[in-house]
Amino acid sequence: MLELDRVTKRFNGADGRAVTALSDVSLTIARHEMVCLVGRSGCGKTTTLRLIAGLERATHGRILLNGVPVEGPSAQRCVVFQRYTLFPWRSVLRNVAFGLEIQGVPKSKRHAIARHYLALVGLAEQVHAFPAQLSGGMQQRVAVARALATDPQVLLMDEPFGALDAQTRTVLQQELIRIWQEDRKTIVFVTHDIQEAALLADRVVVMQGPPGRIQAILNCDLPRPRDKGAPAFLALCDRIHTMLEVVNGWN
Amino acid sequence: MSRGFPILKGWLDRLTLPLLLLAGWQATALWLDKPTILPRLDAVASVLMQPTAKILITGSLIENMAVSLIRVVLGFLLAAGTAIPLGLAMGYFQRVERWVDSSVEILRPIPPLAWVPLILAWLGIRSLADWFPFLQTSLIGASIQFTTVVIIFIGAFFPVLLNTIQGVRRIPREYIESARTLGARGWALLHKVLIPASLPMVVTGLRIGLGIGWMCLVAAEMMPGSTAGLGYLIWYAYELLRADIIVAGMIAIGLIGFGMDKGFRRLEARLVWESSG
Repeated sequence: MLELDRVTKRFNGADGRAVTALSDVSLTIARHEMVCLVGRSGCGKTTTLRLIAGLERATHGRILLNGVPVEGPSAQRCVVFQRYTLFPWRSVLRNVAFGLEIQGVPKSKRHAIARHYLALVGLAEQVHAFPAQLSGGMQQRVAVARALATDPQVLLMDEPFGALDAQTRTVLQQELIRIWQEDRKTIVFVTHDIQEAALLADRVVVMQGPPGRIQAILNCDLPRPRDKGAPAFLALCDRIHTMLEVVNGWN
Repeated sequence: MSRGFPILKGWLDRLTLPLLLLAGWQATALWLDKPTILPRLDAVASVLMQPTAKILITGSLIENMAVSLIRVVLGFLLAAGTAIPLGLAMGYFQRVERWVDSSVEILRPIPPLAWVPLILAWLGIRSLADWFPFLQTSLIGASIQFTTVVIIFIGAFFPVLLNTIQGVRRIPREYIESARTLGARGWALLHKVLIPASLPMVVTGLRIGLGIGWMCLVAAEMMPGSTAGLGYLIWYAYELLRADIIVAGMIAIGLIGFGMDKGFRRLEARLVWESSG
């Protein structure tokens, strides 16, 4: 279980004044749950993710993973970013094996594990390729495999498919659901794409800001795989959309 | 016709101007007939063709090349060994950068040759042979004065430092953060992420540093206290009005500099991951 307990984050802005990126956010995410954070830029969704990752420190409040406070980055909470996700000087195999290499897992074993996860994301053939030789979609698949290889408790994804074309994005969303259904990691997924959130999430957290706070939490209990044309799906998208519009005061 | 031999055509394009220049040189030298001002090419070539023959009372061309090369390699290694770690620290830790930056910025614009008098005053003409007596008998060993090595060090240091700092700063934040969330920190973060990610820029810095070191060296060898090396050779030849030796020495300097630059460019090309198979 992942708990955010009244978390506030302030940064020093460019002009020296403190900027509140996140204000008093509380959220509990169950094990195996897939939660999407949506909102427009500046709403604090990425800050929330970075705080969970331990890449930033909360100014107030605390974050607990299974009751243990988050004090810094750890292989328990892997991040998949939108860009520059892979190490360009390492082959695909050695990228995926990176986390295990840090843990001191012997070469033959870590390469075997890396091959397993590369097969899981459908890249068994590309193990010896370098990132620059792969398409954007393939690179993100490798990044997912790399994050899974250390068997983290939580997978944090910061608009991981945001830079991909629509078709590739759709394929990867389906792949992510398939992998998640096999592996059942806790996933926190940041996106500004309403449809993406509705397609993936068990719960959608709608955020507003600055300063960032939670506007609403919507349960999405539609069975998977979800049909983007089904009335229930469209109704869900509509609800998220309405929440965002309420947030931004357009109504 | 030439369409069928594009490689041949390429070479022809490259060689036409140099050959014309050489022909013009030789014609002028023959017409002028003043070897102290403009030596004939065959005179220059005969110096280059006998690299092991003793030149005047200095050593042979090969010996002087060796002296210069050893000096430059020593100074260069010293510069690389200090500038790379400092650059990594300055690029990664803002605190170190704030501490060191102003000193670097003040020292950097001082031409390496402006240091010669002070370094001579400190180190005199002490050489490697003062530390390793068995080197005393060899011209090469006795000629590796610390002064010249320090001048090369100063010349090579700053390009390596600045490129290393830039190399670290230009690492996308995501590389470091991905590595940290995969469990890397401290030493592992340094040698598995920071160093490989900045390596292309570091190697560019090494190439530029070596080139500048080489130029500083030849100039430093013309300064008092020098008793061997290519710079010394051409200066000494000037005093004896031997323009053929001057030109031969200049060609040797150019060829070595060219070779070192080419070697590093090859290394750089291999380090561009985007094209590596």
